Amino acid sequence: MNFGRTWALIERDLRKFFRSPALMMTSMIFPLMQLIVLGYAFGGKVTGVLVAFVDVDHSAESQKVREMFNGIAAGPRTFHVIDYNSVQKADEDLRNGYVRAVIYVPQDFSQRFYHRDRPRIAFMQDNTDQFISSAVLERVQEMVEQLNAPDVTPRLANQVQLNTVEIYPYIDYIKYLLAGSIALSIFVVAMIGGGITFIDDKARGLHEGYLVTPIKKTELVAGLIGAGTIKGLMAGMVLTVIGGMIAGIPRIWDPVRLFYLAIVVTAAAIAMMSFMFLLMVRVDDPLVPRATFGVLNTLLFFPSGAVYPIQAFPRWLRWISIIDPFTYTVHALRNLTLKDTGIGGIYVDVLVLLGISAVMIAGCLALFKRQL
Amino acid sequence: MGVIPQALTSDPELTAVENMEVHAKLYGVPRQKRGQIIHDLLSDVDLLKFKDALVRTFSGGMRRRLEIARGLIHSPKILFLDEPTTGLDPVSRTNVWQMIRALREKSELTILITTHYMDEADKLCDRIAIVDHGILAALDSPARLKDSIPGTDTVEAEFEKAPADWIAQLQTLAHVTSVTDRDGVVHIASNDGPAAIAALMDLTRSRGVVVRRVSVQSTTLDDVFVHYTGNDLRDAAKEGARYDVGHLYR
Repeated sequence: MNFGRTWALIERDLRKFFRSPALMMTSMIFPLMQLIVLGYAFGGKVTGVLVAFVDVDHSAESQKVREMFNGIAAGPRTFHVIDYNSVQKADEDLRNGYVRAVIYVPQDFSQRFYHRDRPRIAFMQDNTDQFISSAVLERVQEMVEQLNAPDVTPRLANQVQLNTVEIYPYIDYIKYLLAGSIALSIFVVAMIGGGITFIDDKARGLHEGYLVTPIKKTELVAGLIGAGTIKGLMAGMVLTVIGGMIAGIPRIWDPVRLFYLAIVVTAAAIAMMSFMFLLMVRVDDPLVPRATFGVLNTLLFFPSGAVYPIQAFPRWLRWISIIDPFTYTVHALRNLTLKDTGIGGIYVDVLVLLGISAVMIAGCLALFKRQL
Repeated sequence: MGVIPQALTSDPELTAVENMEVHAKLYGVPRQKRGQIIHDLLSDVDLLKFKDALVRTFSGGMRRRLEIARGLIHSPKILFLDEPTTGLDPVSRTNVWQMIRALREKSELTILITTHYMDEADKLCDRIAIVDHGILAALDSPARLKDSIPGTDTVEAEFEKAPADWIAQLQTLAHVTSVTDRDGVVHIASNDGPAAIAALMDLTRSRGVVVRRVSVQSTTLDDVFVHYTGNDLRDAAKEGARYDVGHLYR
């Protein structure tokens, strides 16, 4: 294998990349935009949910419940409480979507409370949005626990207490999403540089120009994948730094961590670029990479755990995660950006990515036809 | 061996020099010689002043000249040109022809051209092979190929005051093989056009016939090609037809 010939192709691709600001911007802007929009959209806490409060008991105890709601409205602001006089009207507004939940304190609430006869509060909620309904329910359950707490704490506690230790500081969702966005930027470069440009060059006859020279199949494949890897590394590292600053990752400029990040990004870029070439090696129609872009993005990005934990996936989707290079990229990047694990937290992922690359490159070499 | 494919294969997003450099590296031209060779070749194809311009700004003729220069980057002994002027305008085509002639005169290079343009082959080639369906139908110099077919120069003429038996009289002339009248234009097939015209002029003077127009057309390589390959159309679906994505890069 002649590295001079391989480098000639890499140099050519890099010149074209730097000469095309649109290509560079696309590979950065799409993942950055996704990081900012999704990071802030998904990361926020639920606030201002309209809750109807119907008190037909009008007692000191029901007033206590009302005050608890007022406390939440003033504190975490999960609810905005609206008083209703009629449970029928509250129910109607709940079904029409004007309020998200109804708290109903029945007429015999205080009476049962003093008689210790299972006092009840009715809680009706619109469960069409699972995210909001679970957040509201969690708050209401906390309130009920407080209502049930004994006035005087027993001197000898016999209840099991769980002491929770969180070993990392609170992680905003945007920080959680950063790893996925970096992986996405590498994928976009692979898709545009490795897929679309490769097929367009083939369609425009540029490859014919190279195939009449003494270049070997291995040199051609190595050149194309090498160029894509360098572009992926550059895009990935730029997004790591810019995205890290936007997300507020502490000590993002730490050179040791940047070095490990570069190792992961390089391994991911080789894996994604070789995966892309394997898909496109026999394709001639320029529409194919464009048409498959969205499909591949969905098929690789979402099952990787970039936006939602893999443990919540059904079994069939977990199988996609296992063969998806995104999964190992996201895992390793998250270990570095959120936990600062060092080499111990990434070497398995890097080895898997390199293993995937080896298989893909072998496939490319087997399928690549060196003919005019 | 240098090969210039039919399609324009120079990279539009690179400059002329960069295109040359990529190929120099692919052919393993030593670094020390690269700069001078590229300079000389670009000078030969008259593109030196455009050496740093992006190829996407070039006309079709300029790209073809660049590709010919690129094909010579490793000083080949044989240069294959696959339909070098297909799709070029007449000026660019003439330009490419001049360049190929200059190359032929300047170097010991053997140039092999495939073309569908018979006039191009006639102007550029010392020897021509006619290949039909993959079979060599004829191989010789242009002049000998023309002489090899039952030969017809065609004299076209229009006359005034011609007598009724004028066509019959023309058929008696020396070197004339057939005479046809098509809407007042007389076509005289001859195996020696100039001699037939001389005889025709003598005849018109002696018979008092006025010649309104006369022209002679020699045997062309088109005639030779048709003679050796027949008149059947050669329609065939081309495998691996190229997709046009040029609009995406404008």
